[in-house]
Amino acid sequence: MEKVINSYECLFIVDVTNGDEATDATVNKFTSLVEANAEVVDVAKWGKRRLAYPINDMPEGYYVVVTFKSAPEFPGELDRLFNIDETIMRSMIIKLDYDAAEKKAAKIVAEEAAETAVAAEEAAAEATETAADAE
Amino acid sequence: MDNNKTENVVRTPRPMVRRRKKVCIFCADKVDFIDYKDSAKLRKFISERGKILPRRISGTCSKHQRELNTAIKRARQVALLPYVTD
Repeated sequence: MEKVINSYECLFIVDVTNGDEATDATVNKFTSLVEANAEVVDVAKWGKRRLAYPINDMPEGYYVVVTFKSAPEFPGELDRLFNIDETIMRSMIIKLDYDAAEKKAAKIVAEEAAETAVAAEEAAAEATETAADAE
Repeated sequence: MDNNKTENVVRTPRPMVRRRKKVCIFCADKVDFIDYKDSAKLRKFISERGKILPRRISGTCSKHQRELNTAIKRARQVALLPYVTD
């Protein structure tokens, strides 16, 4: 049988009350876990944000969004691990439908291309400036 | 005797109320999918109390209203939008 690969997006909120190091440790733990078990498309760390309503009496949380492709068994396991970890305040894993996943991947590629283009332009501008200065 | 007869009463025609036709803004923008993470955009579709606006007010088409509903509910789960605001 053909192997099924789906696109998923998982968002989790990490508790920030234990300090920056502990937060980073949890973020890295889960991102590397996803990397080990799935093909990561994008990791977006939003950083500390105010919550729309307090969760466990805490007004803030560290948001991370990971987009990945994996077999359908992995998200269930990931959700189980999220629930075990006490520093995860909230988590959500959603399945992206095919079109949405493709478009998101294309958007990320386009953004990266735009960034490199801007960087290249700046470098070129600097080069011409230094050339003008030399003259 | 026949005071209750209504046949002879001339009814004045009601003035026609012309409403501007609302166009679904997701259709107009050709949005592919409504992202639950875009809380700034979703905020336009909730009331001051945090309730989801009905179609007759927001003017979205039924397909996009359905997608909008899931997006808002997901955003609420991860504390990007409030369930209630007093």
